[in-house]
Amino acid sequence: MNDLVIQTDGLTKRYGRVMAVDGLSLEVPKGRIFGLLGPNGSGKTTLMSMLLGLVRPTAGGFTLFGNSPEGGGLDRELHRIGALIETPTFYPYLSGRNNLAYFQGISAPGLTRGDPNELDSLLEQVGLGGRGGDKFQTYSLGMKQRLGLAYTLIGNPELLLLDEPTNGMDPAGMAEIRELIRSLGNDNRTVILSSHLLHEVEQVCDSVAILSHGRLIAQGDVAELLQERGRPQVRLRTTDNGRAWEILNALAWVEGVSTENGYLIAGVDAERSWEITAALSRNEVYIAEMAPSQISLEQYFLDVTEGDVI
Amino acid sequence: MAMAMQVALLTRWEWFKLRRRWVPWILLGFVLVIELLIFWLVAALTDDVSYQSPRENIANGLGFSSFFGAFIAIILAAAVMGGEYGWGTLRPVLSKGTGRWPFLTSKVAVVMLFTIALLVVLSVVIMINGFIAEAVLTADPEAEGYGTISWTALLAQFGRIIYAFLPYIMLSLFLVVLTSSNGVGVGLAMGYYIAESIILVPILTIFDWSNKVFAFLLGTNVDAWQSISGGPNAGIEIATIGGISDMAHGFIIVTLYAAVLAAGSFALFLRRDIAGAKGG
Repeated sequence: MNDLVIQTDGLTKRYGRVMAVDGLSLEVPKGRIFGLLGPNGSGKTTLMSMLLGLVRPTAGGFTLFGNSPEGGGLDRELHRIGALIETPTFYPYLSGRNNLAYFQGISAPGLTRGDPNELDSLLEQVGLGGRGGDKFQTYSLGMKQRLGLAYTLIGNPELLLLDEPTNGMDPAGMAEIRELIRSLGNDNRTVILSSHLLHEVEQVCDSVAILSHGRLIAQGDVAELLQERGRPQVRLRTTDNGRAWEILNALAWVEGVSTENGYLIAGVDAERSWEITAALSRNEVYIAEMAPSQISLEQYFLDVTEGDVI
Repeated sequence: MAMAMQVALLTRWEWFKLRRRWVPWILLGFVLVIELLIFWLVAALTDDVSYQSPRENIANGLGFSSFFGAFIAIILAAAVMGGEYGWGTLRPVLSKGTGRWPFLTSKVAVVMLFTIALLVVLSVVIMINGFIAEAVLTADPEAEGYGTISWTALLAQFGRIIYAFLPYIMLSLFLVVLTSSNGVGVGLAMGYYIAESIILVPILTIFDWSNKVFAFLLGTNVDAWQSISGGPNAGIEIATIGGISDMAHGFIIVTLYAAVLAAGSFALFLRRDIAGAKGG
């Protein structure tokens, strides 16, 4: 039995001289929350668009749920997918509810009318219960994102493709939607989340794939990737971080020092913390805070993409 | 069968969207006002001597409708497809597995349905006004030509007019799909319609060989096929193929235009990548 929801094989998309996706071979296992990371222009949206049949690959192929999309098979598989690509775009003159009714209608089998209760339930689920009757053109970006999420959930799909789903939301809304996405990943549903917010991906996703210049440069479980890459580190704050940076950099047994949000990150095993304390105090720099630290997904991302802007 | 069901489903939901837009109602209101103005102007001018029967009124109304109907078909076809490009709604629609060709077919179907509904509404309104005019202006049933048009002939005329909208709908759709823009598409389609009917045909009539060119122009063949007096090119002589009737020749050319433009629209729409909102 094939447990891969998506499998791409050398998938390529070229726009003139620009290689948007370059021979991408990716595997997305069933039932995971899968993060798709990459700087702007790394090919995330193009990849999703190809999987949805919106963009035609230049070369290579892919399977959805183990089936090839050749010969009109893609439309059949698309009924099992809920996808939101970039900013949600719906009919501005229709209400949020009527937009959902339309999309429910065109996805319904035969000429049957969709279940109106599903629409109310979806609007409630995404926090638009009281605004479903308002026209889409009156919605804020955050509300549009919420409606976009409700749209993806029509028909209870097995696979969700979400491209920047929290874009434009306030912090409370982002936390709420993160929680919703996490809950959607239950029940054996697969969620592919493309996001610029690395901490969001780290909090929500089980696995990630990192793209850069259309190429896959890393893929795997978040925890495993960080562990593989994770060199021992300590995180510290001192009475004089600038001086401390110079002192630690001069020590041969410290593998690199960086700064992050007012802290110094030193590449050294936590077992040698006392030696750091001693070295700094000898130079009259005193430690206010020190703890072992694991590499963050953000650091990992910057390492593997060699600092590409996200 | 499954594909036909899919097209029917999508057409139903296209109608759901269309009736919630302002465009069709504005167009309907505009044509209604113009037709009624013309109707009562003609009625007032012809006075009570040989006033026409309601069937002739409808026939005359259809003549005007065929002229305005082509404009409406062009604007509406551009609006229903161009809006999808402008708002970027092709992505969410096609991501639901609707299929590209059933979606485009449903667009043609909904525009045809609307233009049929429009002609029915206009005919009913003209018929009602015909009864009023007959009563007010005291029609003369003994007058020459009174009541000579049968209901069957009227129905056939109705069908011919509807069919003649098809190439204009396809022209508009083709240009919208080609340019991915509502505004540019409708501008080019209207430009073609006006240029051909109002500029090209009058200029060409001064040449002896013009009937050979008219044999292949859309507007002249639409009027030949409709065989009514209301068209902008009515009465233009065309050199028919193999001596067939003007109407048969018109039918062939109208069908060819519709088929070629449809093939172009579908080929482009099926092959092209779908981008985000264009906003215009």
